Amino acid sequence: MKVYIILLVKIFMLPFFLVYSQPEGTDTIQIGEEEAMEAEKLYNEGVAYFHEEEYSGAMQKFNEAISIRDDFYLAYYNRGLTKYKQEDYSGAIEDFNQTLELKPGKAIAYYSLGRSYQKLGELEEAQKNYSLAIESDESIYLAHYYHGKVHFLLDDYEKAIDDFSNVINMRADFAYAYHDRGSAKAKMGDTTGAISDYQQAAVLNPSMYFTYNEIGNLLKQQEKYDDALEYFTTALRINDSEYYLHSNRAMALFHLERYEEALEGFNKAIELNPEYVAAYNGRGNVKYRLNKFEEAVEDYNKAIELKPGFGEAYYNRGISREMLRDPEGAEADWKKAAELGVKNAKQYND
Amino acid sequence: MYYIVKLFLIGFFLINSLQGVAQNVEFTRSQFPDDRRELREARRNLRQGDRLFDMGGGKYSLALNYYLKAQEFNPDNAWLNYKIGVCYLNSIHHKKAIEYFEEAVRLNVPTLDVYYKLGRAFHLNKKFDKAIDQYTFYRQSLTPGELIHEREKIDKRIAECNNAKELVENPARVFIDNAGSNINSNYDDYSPVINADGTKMFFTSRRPIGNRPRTDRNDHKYYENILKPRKLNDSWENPTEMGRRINSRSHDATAGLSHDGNTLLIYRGRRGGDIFISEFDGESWSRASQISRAINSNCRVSSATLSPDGNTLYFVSDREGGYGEKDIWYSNRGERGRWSEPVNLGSTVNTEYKEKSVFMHPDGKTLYFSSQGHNSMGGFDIFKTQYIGGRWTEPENLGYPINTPDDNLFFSITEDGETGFYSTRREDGYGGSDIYKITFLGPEKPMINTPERKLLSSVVMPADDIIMADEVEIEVTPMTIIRGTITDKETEEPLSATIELFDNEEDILLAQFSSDEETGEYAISLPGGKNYGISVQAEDYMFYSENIDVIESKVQREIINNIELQKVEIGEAIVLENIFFDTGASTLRAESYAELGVLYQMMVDNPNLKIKISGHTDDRGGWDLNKRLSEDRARAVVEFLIDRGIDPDRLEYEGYAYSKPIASNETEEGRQKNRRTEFEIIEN
Repeated sequence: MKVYIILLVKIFMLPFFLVYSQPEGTDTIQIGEEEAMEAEKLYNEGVAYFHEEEYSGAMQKFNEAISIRDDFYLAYYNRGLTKYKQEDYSGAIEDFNQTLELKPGKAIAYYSLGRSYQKLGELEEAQKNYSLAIESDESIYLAHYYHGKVHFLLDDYEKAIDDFSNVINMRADFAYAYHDRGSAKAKMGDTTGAISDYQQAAVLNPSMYFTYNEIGNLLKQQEKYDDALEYFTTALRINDSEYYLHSNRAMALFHLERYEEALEGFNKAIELNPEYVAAYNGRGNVKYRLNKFEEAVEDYNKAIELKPGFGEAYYNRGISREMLRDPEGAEADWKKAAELGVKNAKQYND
Repeated sequence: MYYIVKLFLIGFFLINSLQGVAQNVEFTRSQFPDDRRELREARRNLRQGDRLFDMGGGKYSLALNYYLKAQEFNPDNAWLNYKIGVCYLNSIHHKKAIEYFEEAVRLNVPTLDVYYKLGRAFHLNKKFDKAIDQYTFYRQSLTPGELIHEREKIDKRIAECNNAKELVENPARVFIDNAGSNINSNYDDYSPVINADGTKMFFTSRRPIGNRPRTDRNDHKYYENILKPRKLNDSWENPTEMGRRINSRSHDATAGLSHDGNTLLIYRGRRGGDIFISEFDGESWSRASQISRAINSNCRVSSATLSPDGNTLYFVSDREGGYGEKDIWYSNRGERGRWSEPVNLGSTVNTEYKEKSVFMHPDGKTLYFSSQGHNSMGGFDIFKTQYIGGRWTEPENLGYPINTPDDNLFFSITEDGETGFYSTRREDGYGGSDIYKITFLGPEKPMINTPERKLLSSVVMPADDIIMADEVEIEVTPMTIIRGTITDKETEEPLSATIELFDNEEDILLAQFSSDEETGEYAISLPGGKNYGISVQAEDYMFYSENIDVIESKVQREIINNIELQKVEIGEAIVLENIFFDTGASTLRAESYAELGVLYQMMVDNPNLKIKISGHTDDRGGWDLNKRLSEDRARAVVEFLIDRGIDPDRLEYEGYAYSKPIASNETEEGRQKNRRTEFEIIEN
């Protein structure tokens, strides 16, 4: 015989007391549908906590709902989301899997599994689950978006573009899809298409300062330094606390040979993030151009100290050392840079 | 009118640039009435200086010593300041010339040439705008007659300054290092020639060699001699003089070296200057001999260089038919070793000015040479031209800092293009012209910046990636509440009894609870549409069971169900309400097991208890059938208990068929009550 449930609950603790007007002091035993209702009520309370971002409260409610009804798949699902929010991705995965066991084919459970795996860095597992989510319900645009994102991360830019295009077809106002498609196009060498997508993203969401940053980067690659500078400046107007925007803008100024302004930019980036190696490297480059080779070397040293695998800093330090009449030091730096994969360094290694 | 304008210009220029005119002080007794002895000494120094100054060339540095002594006594003499300026201008310390020329102008030295020389001093010191101002002022100060001779020279200087400004703006990536004291001396050292791999060098020096060194009466410097330093690792050891086979009593200078380093071309000053040749046989150098009459005849031939195959000689000559005073020519060696009639290299390379010091790279197509023409930044600059497609390319200035506004001559370079040598005058030199080493750094190495990319939006600003399951709508199901009181049948006292509720269909114990100890009350809320079994047990009381059908209802219902328990006494019988059999059969149905379990537990809890199970039917069907059926059913219950371990001696059973009805058999409700299983206590 299976004991289903044993409940001995004081009637005055339950709202049903009011409904049934039980005499005080008498125990009322609630059976069957009543339990289900109680579980659902707890579940709804959990959802409310979740919306208020009170995740421990939500967790408690979902736990209680599940303790009453262990087949309550929605409670498992939302508990999984709560764990996800609490960055307990493995716990979340367990709950999403339990959801799918109780409710096979539940598309959002596949999607959320994908998110959890992606958070754990398991891209292939994430991608598999995004695919299952799309198979179960192709209208989940976020599944397409993250499917595209994983393709991007796996360097499959063509498929990423397809995914982001699907998202745009479903949600034409989703600026992120335009931005990310722009990045995929840039990776494919379609700079014009990339800039067009970035610009559309910026139109849809003008607060996306990082989109202006990317346009600036592409224009800089095209040696359109004045235009690039304008975009970096716009990005900084939106958010001047991002260290890398100061650094990237300083790089445009470097190419425009506006060295003093470039120095200011790199200094600001370092002030905002004293461990930002790209800014030390960039400042070293400016100092090189100002013929301050020893100071340049100091900056490259700092960059290397912070990031010992920073090949570009070795390469640049080699150039300054060459000018400091230290050919052995320069060659050692270029050799190290080449070992670290800096292509330019290889030609100076003989 | 012309002169009025000119005077105005001079006055304006002087006021603006030199802040007024001072008083010139002559070396006279009237100026120094109290310093006769010192004046005499100063004038003696002045005379000595003038004597050397007039000789020019190498004597400027000697003149300067006397002049500086005189200057100590009287710093306000215009001519003396001018002459000191000229001496410095002809030394490596030409920077110092500026202050003396400016002082000479301030003291109103009576020569317009001071402006040209001041311009030249600025020019040599890379103050090109100031130089242009002085050159321009000088040009504007000259009479039309003077301009006829001077205009071209002045305009060339201004053009050189403009060239220099451009070249300095885009310097060549080189290191320039003095070749060091092992090679350079206080005298002119120049014309280094090297072989292709840079392991051999010969150069020319005007340092004194031997016990009785001779000087050239034209420039008062020692005759040129060829020296050979030895290379040790990256440095050169003290050079040795080449001996009489190479160095004669006259001028002997390096003119060129074959790329293998075994053929030395020598300039000799005899007959205006000819090219000689000496071969190295592995042990010694042969006596220098004329290279060819065809090349040397009736002209001055200085620098020369051989093509890699040795069959073409490029050389500098002032022979007739050139574009300027000195041009580059070439001659080919025929099958019998005879050199052909020289051919001018053409106007792409040669200019109306002087070309000098030619060097062919081991690649056989790149020719380096010095020229005062093209886009020189002043004096001789070094240029490069290449023979491509049957033509010499437009000469390219090697750029600053290789070239300077001074003369830059005798360039040679190793085959790998990394190291070159040439001669020039620089302030860091040892004196006169020095040999310098050029380290070519190659094209600018592009520095790498590492821009920060933000390719994926959600990495920068995490998107709301949560898809939540919504709240559920709770459907309130109307419940049936069963409540009542459990009391003693006899005394009606409330009892605390254990109540068990079963889902008979699912064979599930739904709840186990107790009635209130003081009031005997109980309450339970149940969903409708099911059949429930209730069993009640209290210590010393007979087991009680009941079967309730709770119908489905859209409204809340309440069922009052009071239960009276009988004390355990022999002879007391009780109906087992939740024992079910298949119709017409004695097979226990699964939903009976809950109640049978309670009965079993009672037997276990009361080990002295002996019971009798009795089966009853309604009156439908015959007696025999019902008798057998009632007996089989009673036996099935007993066997259930025996199977679970109850001693058979404690159990009896009997089938009564329809002989003991408890209700009317006329109604279905009555018949249902009559179809029953009872147990009776027969011993306790």
